[in-house]
Amino acid sequence: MSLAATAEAVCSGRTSASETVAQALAAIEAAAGLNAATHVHAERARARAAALDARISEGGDPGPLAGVPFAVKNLFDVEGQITRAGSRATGADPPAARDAYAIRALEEAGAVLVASTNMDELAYGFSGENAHDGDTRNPRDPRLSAGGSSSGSAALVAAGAVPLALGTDTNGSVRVPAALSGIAGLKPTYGRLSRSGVFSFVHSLDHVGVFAATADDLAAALAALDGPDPDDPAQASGVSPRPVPQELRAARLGGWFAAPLHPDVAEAVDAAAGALGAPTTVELTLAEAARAAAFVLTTAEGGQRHLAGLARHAERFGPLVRDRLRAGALVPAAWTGRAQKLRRRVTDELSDLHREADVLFAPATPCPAFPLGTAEHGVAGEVLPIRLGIGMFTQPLTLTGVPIGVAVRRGARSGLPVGVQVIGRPFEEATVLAAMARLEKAGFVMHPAQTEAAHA
Amino acid sequence: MPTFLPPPPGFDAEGYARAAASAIGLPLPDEAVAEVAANLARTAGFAALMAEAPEIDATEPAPVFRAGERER
Repeated sequence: MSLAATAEAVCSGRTSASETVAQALAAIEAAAGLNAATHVHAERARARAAALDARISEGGDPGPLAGVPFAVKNLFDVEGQITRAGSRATGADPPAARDAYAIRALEEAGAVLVASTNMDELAYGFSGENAHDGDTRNPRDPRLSAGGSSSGSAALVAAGAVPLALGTDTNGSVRVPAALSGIAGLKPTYGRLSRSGVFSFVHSLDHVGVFAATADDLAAALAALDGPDPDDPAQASGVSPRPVPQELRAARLGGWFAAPLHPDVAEAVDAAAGALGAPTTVELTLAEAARAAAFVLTTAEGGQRHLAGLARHAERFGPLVRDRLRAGALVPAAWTGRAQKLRRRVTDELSDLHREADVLFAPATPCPAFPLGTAEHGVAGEVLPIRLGIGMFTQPLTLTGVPIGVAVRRGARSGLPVGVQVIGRPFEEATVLAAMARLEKAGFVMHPAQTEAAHA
Repeated sequence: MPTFLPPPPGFDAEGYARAAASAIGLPLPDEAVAEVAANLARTAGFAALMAEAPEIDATEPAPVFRAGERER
């Protein structure tokens, strides 16, 4: 059921917010084996739902997301709780004084927070493996990674436990788990959504992003999240995007984005070209250098972000992140300066490509989900380190800050989800979502894993 | 093709790590030096790749400070 249909059912009295929340809480418990939720906010959610139901019975307007249960990555502030960000390094932090802006915005629209979710420690990773909380498991196959770092949020949506979840995307941390878990994901334009109350990782690259089943649901969530917040100094203002064009022009990104590809991914990109009527392939010549720049900015800013903690209590950082952050803190300014210049250059190059195409598209990952606990994976005859390979198509694009959606379908060979990135112009999320809706009509949509099992 | 790129020849990553850590007040235990240096060497490879972009050093950097941004 779509978010709008759930809200309509709640408003019309066919069901209640208390009922939708109770269902979500039961589904999260039933999905406990995925290790996707780290905190279930049952008491808060039930109270919130009861208040919504009371408002509806009094004839009040509960909002366009009335009774929609949602989850957030455990780096979003939840009032009264320590914001963990998947780490013991945050354990001595004070509890959050108020909810993150994004949680407040969704709840003002009638949605109800039910859980905080597992993640790669401090958002530094793509696998959903966590030394403190255990690994997130993929609902399509629990032996596999759900993708990361917003692993638990993607897994809960893919399992059908919640219809909506929030994550963050710095190098692909929404797009990779959306692709590997088999759900729709959106990384909006850098600066579009407020990040206040969100535990930072790399200030110049962090984005709040959304997971749901369809582009329509992403649009409904985006509408609620999209508002000015004076508490976020990086938020953009005064932006007026062009309307969605009648005739959508699309082009495929080749070059760096053409290989190595698992055959399921290659077929998905071909299918997207057919569905979007995109005969042309264009090349972002700076893609590889852009990935290098994103890597350098991430390690350097991430290291600086945690410098005080590393000096004070390095033992609280997990082994997957501790030495990477230490090394990042030592990166010389010459390298980060070059990365910021490269960022300008590649952003301009992508903008030129967007003159001839409203959306560009590219694979989200080179291959489907990989087994948990592995350091390398094979793709098209190549053996690649997962940490480098899985984000190779998302990382260069993050640098440009443009909005990017991920549409998924089942691969014929692996039987697992694979994803295509739909890349729009800055602040043209509506055009990205329109292209994703067109892809959905061509088979780029997957049902929650639980529903699949029930129908198998 | 995503491979680990070689660091610049002659880059003494362990020596650099020890010296730079002292400069910024980051304690660096002996047992961490090898892994930290390996990460730095990897980052050095990426930094070298960026240098191949023509006239990159003269390009305007992406983040531009705008005075009074909060008031607007």
